[in-house]
Amino acid sequence: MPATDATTASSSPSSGLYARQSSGLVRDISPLSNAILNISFVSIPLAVFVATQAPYAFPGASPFWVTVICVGVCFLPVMLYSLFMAVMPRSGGDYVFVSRTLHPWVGFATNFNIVAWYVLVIAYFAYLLAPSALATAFVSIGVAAHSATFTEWGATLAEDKGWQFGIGAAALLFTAAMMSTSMRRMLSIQRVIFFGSLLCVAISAILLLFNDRGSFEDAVAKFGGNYDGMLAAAKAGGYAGSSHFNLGNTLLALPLAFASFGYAIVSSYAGSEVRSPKATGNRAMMWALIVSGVVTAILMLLAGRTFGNDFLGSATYLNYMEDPQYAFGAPSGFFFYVSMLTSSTPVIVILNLSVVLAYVVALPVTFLITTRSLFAWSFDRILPERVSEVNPRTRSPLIATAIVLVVSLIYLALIVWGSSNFLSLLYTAGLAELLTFIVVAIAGIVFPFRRKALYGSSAINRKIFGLPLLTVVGLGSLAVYIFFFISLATQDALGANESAGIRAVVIIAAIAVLIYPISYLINRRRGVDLGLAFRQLPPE
Amino acid sequence: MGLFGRKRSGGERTRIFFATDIHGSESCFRKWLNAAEVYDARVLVLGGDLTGKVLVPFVAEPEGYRAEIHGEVVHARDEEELEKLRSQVRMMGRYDVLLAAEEEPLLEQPEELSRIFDQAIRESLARWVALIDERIGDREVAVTTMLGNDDDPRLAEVLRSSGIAAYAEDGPVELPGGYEMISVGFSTPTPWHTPRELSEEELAAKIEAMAAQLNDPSKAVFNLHCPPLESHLDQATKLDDELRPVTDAGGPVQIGVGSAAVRESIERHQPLLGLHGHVHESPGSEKIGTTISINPGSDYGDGILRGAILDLEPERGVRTWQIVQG
Repeated sequence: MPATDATTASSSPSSGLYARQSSGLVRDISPLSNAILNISFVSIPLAVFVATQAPYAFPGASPFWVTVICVGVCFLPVMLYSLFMAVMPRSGGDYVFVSRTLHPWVGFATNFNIVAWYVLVIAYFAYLLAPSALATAFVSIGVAAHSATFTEWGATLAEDKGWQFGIGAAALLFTAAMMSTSMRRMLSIQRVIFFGSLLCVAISAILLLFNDRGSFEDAVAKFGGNYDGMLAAAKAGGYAGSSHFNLGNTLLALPLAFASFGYAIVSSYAGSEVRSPKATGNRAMMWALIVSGVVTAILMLLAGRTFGNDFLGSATYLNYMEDPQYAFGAPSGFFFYVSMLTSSTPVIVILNLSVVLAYVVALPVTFLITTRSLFAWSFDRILPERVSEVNPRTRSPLIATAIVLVVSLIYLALIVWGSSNFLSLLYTAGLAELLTFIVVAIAGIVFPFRRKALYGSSAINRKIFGLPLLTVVGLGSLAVYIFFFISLATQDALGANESAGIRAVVIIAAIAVLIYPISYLINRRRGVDLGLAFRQLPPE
Repeated sequence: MGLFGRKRSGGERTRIFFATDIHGSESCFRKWLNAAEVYDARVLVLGGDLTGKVLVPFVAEPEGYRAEIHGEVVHARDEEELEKLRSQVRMMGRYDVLLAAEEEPLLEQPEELSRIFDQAIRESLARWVALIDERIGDREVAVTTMLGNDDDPRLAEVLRSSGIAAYAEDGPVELPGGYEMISVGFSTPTPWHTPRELSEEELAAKIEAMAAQLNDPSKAVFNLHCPPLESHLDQATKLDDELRPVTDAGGPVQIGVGSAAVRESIERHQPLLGLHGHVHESPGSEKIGTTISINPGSDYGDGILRGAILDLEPERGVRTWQIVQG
């Protein structure tokens, strides 16, 4: 090949840079692809579902304002992860951010903590399929199609523990099988699930837009309830809600929305394979937050108009109290009430199948994050090498996938048959995961001082109020994370501060702290020094 | 070709430090040189793709120089500021070049731009070679370098000018401990049509010609820039016709971009170790038969040197390996 090819250079005067023809110089991902990539990590249907629980837990709280304020507050943490990705584009997630900034031991413990809780979340999503997603779907279809069989199926799934475990286990096995196939096939399946799960959002928006409060009151009656009677029954039973907006309770309810929007950062774990030349990959997380927030907020606004926030709180209260005034046969929830707005069986079927997919869509994504973490730990020799072995045909990490599958199946069995304490651990997960986020925020604060050269040569080397941008954003994020941590730790209504949950937080944190030194000693005997993995080499 | 006069007694551990794809990053190069001391390595191997991709001109002004860094125009008003900015550019893996104001229009002429680029690369590489000779000196450290697919073939002469470092592609290199290493820095065709690409058949022939010179391939190290096809070491994001990454709802689409010829040579000869690079985003290790193949990946753009520490022992072959980020 002619030597001149080596320096076939192209000028780009507008940027003041001149690039030569060489491998790796790729164009940007299209904005649409980038948006889809990132929005797929924020489950809008689940954000909607959780936000509508706010009036029950905090009477007078507005799901709309909970969404809007939480999205605003989450800008700082999302910016923190975006900035970290801008400094270390390919590094991926808190494990490397913290390891490079503070110490590999801290990085591992931080990452282990969040991954251990993610596995619980995987099991919880699998569990919810039967008693929540499918039970609601069958009851809705049964009532709409006048089918007693479907209604009975719904009731069975809401109660029968065998079915709950069986369906949850099947979902976990399906996800593990997906992860064990080639990445290409896995992504194809994920794409179908992702777009399928968004159908319920579109259908909900349309039905809410064309149905007012009167239509909904009629629908409630059709399903055997009484709108005003339910409000009165809830108040008589002790529910303190009202149709008046309560700012204090709205603020207290923010952690509910944080459970969705606070996780707009997870693409920093899985989406970092592509170094984006114009850094749009970093901004994509911000756009994912904005788009998800706007869509959710619009749905909440419409829900407040059609259902009434007081009704959402009252109905959920009656459902949890097993009050006979709650006569619907399916758990109280946003999409169930939406399905009451139409008598079209096909629409109800599509809507509810889409909601089922909304529960499923979170499984592969969370599975992917956890298996990648196991893979990274093995790669750095903290776990045995075998954990990072891949299938020669599909390139998938089978052992890491099997570990996540087995642990999540055990969790699932404990959720179904264990004490209610175990189920309450899910609420504690948010609290425990904040421990990891807090360490990441601290890493952000000190990064510009501990890794001066890396920060100095990065595109985000700017100052605000005389402090490095990353430090300022880290401080802001730390304040946000501490706010949510204190909220979850002190608000009984959020269910995160049960003593069993706190014990679990301490146990998992202790395991996270202990694994690294144990692995360090084992590796040292074999001649491998784990301390070298992230040791800085002098650049002089 | 022997690298060192003095060998340690048989049975001892031979520690190799391998890094690759540093693409003009001064920071990574200096870290690689310092790795011998920090990691206690007896052999330093620098894989291909040494040259950078981006030129940052510093254009003279009445009061100093002007350049553009991270999209912002910066001004150096004195020598100290100029050196600081030039150093920053080099650490980022970019080439700095000083131009008089009347030379700036040359950058818009492709031939002139190529000439300026060539010169900047050559001068940078010559500085690196001088640094190897100065820093390693008479220390008991074996050093090898080679070009990759991204490097102008004429630059091999610059690397060969070192009094310390062997140019690894010239033939089997004898490493401390009695091991041999063969090296090929070419890759299979890429979407960018880089200067040192070969067809699978040509690459196979080149590797076989080198392997035929080995005394015992089973105790050799195969330093082949391109990773084996369909391994965990060659997974890259699929690109469309316009070199855009192809993404899906669940993430970027990954495909294998390694070489079938490299895989076949490893399967046939079963060397102790395969050292690879080329695909920055696919660090990892994989056992192909009895051979441990490693791609440490590259984060040169962040100034972070990714590398592999490999301990060889006569009885056990590869005793341990570890990928590090310095």
